[in-house]
Amino acid sequence: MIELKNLRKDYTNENNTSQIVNIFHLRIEDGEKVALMGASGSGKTTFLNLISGLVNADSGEIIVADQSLCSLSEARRDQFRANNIGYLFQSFHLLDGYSALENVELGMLFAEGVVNRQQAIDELSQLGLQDRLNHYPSQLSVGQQARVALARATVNRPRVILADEPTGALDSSNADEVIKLLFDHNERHGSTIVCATHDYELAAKFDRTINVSELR
Amino acid sequence: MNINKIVLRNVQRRKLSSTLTALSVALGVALYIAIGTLREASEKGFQRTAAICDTIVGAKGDGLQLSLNTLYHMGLSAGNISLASFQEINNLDGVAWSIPVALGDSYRGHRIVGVSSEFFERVMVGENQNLDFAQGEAFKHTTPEFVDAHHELFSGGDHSHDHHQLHNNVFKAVLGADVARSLNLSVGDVIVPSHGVESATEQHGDAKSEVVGVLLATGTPIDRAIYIPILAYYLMEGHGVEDGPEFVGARDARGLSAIMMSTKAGFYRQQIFRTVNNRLDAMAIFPSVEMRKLFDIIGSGDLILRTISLMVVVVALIGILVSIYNTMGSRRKEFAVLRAMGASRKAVLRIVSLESAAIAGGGAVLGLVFAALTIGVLSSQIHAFSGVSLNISAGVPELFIFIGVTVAGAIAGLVPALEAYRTDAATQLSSNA
Repeated sequence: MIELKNLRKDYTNENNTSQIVNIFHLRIEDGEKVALMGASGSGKTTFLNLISGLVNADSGEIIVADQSLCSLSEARRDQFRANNIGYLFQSFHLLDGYSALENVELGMLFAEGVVNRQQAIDELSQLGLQDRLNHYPSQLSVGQQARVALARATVNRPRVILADEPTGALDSSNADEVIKLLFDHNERHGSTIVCATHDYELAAKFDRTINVSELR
Repeated sequence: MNINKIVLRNVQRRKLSSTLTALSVALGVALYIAIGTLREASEKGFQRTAAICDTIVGAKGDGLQLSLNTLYHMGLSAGNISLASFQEINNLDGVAWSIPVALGDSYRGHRIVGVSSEFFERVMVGENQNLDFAQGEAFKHTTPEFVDAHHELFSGGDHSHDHHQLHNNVFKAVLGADVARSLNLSVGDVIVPSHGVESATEQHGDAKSEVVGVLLATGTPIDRAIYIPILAYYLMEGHGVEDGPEFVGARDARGLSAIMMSTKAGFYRQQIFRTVNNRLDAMAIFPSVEMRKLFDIIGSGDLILRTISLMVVVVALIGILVSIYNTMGSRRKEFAVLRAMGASRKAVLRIVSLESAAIAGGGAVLGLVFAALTIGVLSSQIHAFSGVSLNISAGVPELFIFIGVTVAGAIAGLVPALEAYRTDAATQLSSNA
């Protein structure tokens, strides 16, 4: 479960302070698939970063997987993120110097427990990349890169998967494929999925759509 | 996958700059170790040779020259002292043993040293190690026999009869181990000495000497010398040419080049030192003191070189810092991704700092290898030049240098590591570049 109460996050630059996120109350159930919508700059990415613990709220409460994040130190939030959160980015952010398999292993590196290579191989194999394990990102097609990024986000069996415009760089065929795989994972493992998107068609496939600006 | 693998992968990704900076570290480390090790090993090796005798007596002049000429067979003799002086000094209280030495001839680049047979009985190298023979034995020619024969030779009158009588007994030779090996000589072979040491001129055809013994290797200049009975020197054509009963000074060829001496325990050593140095015709030196003086002089140059090599290491470490720092701009996104996957700021700091430490540590290991190769080459050259064998082994100081350079590398890496530490992951991830 994800629960946000009286959450506020401001952005300050040299000239002024603007409110990025201001949420009175929001609850997302375990295993729920939620599309997060809103105009550019409405705070979707900040919302995801707050849930992951990558940034801390100015005030309010964030409870993710039964853990209140606002009371944790940054190091504890990092550890929480490693154990419970999977991140999927629009431009994938695969690391160039590492093979597909190593990129997926990186997803397990900072979590508690050992890096299980076989688990990483299985994850990539399930996504049809069993013959691309040792290929570097530059040797993969965009669709294959997206699947490697998905494998990296899911390999650790996170309680929550945060996706920031995951289909933004993909053609419709690859986009459909990635969303299908993401939902398959949700069905098999029950991860909660929160996906920031501009795409209404994509958002319609989720259990629920939340407009960030309407939460204020 | 683990942190170390990330570190190594990052080092490998920047092969050229990693290799070049590691080579710079290696150069400094190799210089530092090679200079220090060679100096220390050389000093020990030279001091081991200096311990062959505690005192050397020779003509007034330069103590270092006398020491180098007598024990290390380098340079030229400073002059001679008379047999009478030798006898007087030999009779001083506290002399344990003394060996007359005559120098000035050579055979195919190896110096010929005239000594009495006590040389082979008295001289020790290293830890009370007597001179041992690989083949044959020492010649028989004691100091008293030499003194008597010298008197007969130079007491005036016709010496030709004596020459022939003495030839059979004194034209013998004992070879140092290196001489026998390099010239492929063994017992029974005959050598013909040449006049002079640095640019030998004519051969002493009248002084063909039979090899009667070959010494075992000692790791000292003894290995590179040829020992003949000292009397043989005075029987060769052109030696001992002055006539008349009086010794005419340091250039009198009838004199001795030096006296190798050992003194009895107690105050005798200083007493003999003072007594001899009060004479007008001779001086006494302690070879170990002369060597220490020599290495003190070398030491100041050594200090400058070691300081320069340390500066090379420091510059190389700054090079590592700069090369990693220059990559920070393009790696911020990488750090942000690692943070998104749960890496703490400390983990990111550790990765960058370890990269620097890995390059520095790799350079230090490479430096140790370079140093070993350099020391190997130079120690064999020092042996070829001086006969002194250097006993070199890697130990705790090298381990400390490796650790020190690696830690210094990690510290140098802290500058770019702090940049990585401060990277705002959220900002980096929100820019979709």
